[in-house]
Amino acid sequence: MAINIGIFICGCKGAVSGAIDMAGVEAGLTRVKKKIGAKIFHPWLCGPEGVSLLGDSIARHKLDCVIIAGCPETVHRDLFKRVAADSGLPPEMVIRLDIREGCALPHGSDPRGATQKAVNLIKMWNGQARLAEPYKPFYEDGNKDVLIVGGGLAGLSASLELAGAGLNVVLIEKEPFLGGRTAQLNKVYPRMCDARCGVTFLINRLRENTRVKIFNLTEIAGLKGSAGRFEADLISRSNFIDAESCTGCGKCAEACPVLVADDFNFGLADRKAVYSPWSPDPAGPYIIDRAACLSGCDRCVAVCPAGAVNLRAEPIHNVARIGSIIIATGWKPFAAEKIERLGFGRYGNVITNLQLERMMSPDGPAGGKLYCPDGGEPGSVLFVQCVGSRDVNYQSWCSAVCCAASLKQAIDIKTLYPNVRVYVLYIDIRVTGEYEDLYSRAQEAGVVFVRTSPAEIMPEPGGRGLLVTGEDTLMGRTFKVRADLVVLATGMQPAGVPGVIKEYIEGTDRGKGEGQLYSCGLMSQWGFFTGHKQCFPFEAMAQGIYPAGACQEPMDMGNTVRSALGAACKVLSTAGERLELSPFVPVVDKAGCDKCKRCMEECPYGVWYFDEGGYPVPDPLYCKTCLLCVGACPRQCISTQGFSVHKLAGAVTAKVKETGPGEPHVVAFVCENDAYQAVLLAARMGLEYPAGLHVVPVRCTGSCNMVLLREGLPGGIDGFMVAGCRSGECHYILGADRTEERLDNIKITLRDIMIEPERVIFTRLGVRDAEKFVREAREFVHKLKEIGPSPFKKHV
Amino acid sequence: MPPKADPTKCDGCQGESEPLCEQVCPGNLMTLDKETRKAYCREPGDCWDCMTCTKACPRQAIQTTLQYQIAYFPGKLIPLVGTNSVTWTSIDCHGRVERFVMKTLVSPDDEDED
Repeated sequence: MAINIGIFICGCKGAVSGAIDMAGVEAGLTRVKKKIGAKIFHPWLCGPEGVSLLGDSIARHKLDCVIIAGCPETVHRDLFKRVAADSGLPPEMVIRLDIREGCALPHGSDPRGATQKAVNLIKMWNGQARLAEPYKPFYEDGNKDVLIVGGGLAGLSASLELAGAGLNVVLIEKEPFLGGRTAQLNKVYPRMCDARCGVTFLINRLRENTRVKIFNLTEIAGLKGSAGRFEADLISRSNFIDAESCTGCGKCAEACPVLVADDFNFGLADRKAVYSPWSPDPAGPYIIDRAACLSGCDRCVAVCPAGAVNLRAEPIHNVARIGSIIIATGWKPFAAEKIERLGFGRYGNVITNLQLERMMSPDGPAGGKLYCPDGGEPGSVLFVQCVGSRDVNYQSWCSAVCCAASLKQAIDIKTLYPNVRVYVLYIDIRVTGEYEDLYSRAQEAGVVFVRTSPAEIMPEPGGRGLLVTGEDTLMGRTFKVRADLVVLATGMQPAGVPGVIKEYIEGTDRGKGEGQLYSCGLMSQWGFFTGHKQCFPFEAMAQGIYPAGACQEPMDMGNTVRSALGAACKVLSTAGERLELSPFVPVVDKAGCDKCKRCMEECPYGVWYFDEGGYPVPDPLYCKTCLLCVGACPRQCISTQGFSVHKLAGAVTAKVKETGPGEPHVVAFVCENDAYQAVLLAARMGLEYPAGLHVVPVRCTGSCNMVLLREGLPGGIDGFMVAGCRSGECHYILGADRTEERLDNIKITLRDIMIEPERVIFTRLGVRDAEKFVREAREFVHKLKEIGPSPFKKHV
Repeated sequence: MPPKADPTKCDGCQGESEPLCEQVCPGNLMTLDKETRKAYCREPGDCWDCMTCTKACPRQAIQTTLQYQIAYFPGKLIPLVGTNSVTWTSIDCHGRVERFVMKTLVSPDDEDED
């Protein structure tokens, strides 16, 4: 606690002293003596003379805390901190009070009010300063265990980065092979290199890293704990053939009587229930798809010379204890058979773009040869773009990759088969940035582009081809074109977040409402895990869980790798060694806590857990320091080094005077990120509001404990204004909403105790809502004048 | 008269197994309704109106009506708990309002200065 406070009041070269009567301020502060080491007025504190005066005074009066009343904190922050540091004062003991934008500028026409407000503000800040203490540094070792859900391109890229940084990676993949969708693709635009090449490289690097544990055929079945101490229940299905003893002779596959469509080839070929995965890094030389098995059939067991087949193998449960989770579940293709007029599923020669990828892959069903599934070689190939995408009946979004993918395929076909005619039917060609080059290359290669969404695809009467009809919207006429092979460019759908993780994030397991992810905009209405695109692109509400790759939004391979690196970066931010903790990390005073767990419930990020004594504790590494818990705690036992209820209570209970006869005394708690900026802007724009409104910036309105109102109203404050962010714009997701709810509650209490609920208002201000702030402030003060002074005033 | 939780304000301490009023009640009378997840007093006859739950409720959802010996219905006594004071508002059956601010913690800083 500060015991020798120095109050420095700067005239700001007339900007403050022009509107505020400095002699009046001095007179108003005469009785403020306790724990005050110095009261110094100076016309220009940031000038060379003022700076040396500040430094000298700190040393001469042995000040342990300094209040600088003058410009806002953002101005000369470094200068005053440096001066303090030179005089041996920690930077946090320099407390800035804004009486320029906060008092002198907006009350230029009310010098008496401004002077009294300056006195009031100094007293309020003095009340806070008395409780200020130098920060003690705290350190914590980072958490080095991470779970990655999904072994596709995003999962592999993130794993490699994190393992390279020394983290212990558990990578789970529900399919029997790694590489995901990328492993099924043929070539990568724009360089036309092999998709398999990069994936194989990643897998080989991961396999040689001892920090990476890879589980194929594994899904997450349960999730407990909180950020930093998750416990994930992993279920690994068996592949039913012991990979160690299997010799790969293939006798089991020969004996297998079942033939099913091969999903790896998107149904272009068939496979047995026992099959050898044509993929990089399979779970074993041969695996059994038990879902396809005939009941009671055990022919593979009988023929296996190595005795490797065990049809009764049970799934294996593992528990992974990890700090962070990356969700890289990726995407699935749109089901083209939903659009009947395009004939997919009815006509063999209508295929999807992914089937074409498999067809053109050297490891595909035809060894990389272009063919018609109904037989023969195509003389013409026709691409239909936006199949399902940008269509309100199916999926409203643009899948972002199909244009470039079709152009790549068209160029590839033109290169390998120059005589094949290639048509692309498009709505708009959306190849952004440098990919525009693909468009030019396709045009140069002789691909014909027609702007249309085809009306119907029908078999050619008497022929083997297909007839495609539609309206050419550029030429304004209908057209009919014959093609041997039609390729539907199906879009991407989110593969979805595993159910247990989604439940955990939404808190449905803790009795909270569903759909919060959607209402906060962190999950798009279409099921993509977008996060907040600009501010927190990799964040779920629950900290420690980060989405990466195509589960975020449709993206190509380049963006997938970038996204994976972004998510890996989020994991790394909590994985370092001896990390210095923010002074704003909340600490629970166990003497006051009665384990009501309200902090845990109100935390938007789910970073709280129980320590050995059963007390709630936040994980300091994952805490975003929004301090909603400080505002929520009914016993006010959560505080931080930089911010506490008691400090604000010191400001609220300061003994202040009316700024004018009959002027209501109002305290406004404003969010320092948005609303306070609007207040500053109002002053700079020359807007005036009543001097009785005393603005106190807080970390987030959610950090305002309602005890401040319960303390302040009986203390004689006429009204409280709380200004949070605009709906859906809170930097801490729920801060403003929680505050509004709390204020609604306290209003009912006020009504019950016969105090006008209108004495408390909540308003939402954007960062530039200066005029709205001024308007609301004037209206509020006007309203308070109508209501009359607080009934408590006579008791004080 | 026993405490009553306003169902629009009580959030059952967010579905906790043991809400704050249950924790603080010296007679162990407050509990959560299993279906509505709102707090209620399960033995109104045993409540001696200590008002601990009323003060502790984080959402000020609990109200205690005064005993008829003190004031006829609908006389009320409502606390507003601050950091170092409790403000009591008493509203008697005629609607007369009286307020008392009780200091619960006196800090040495409170004395001087106006």
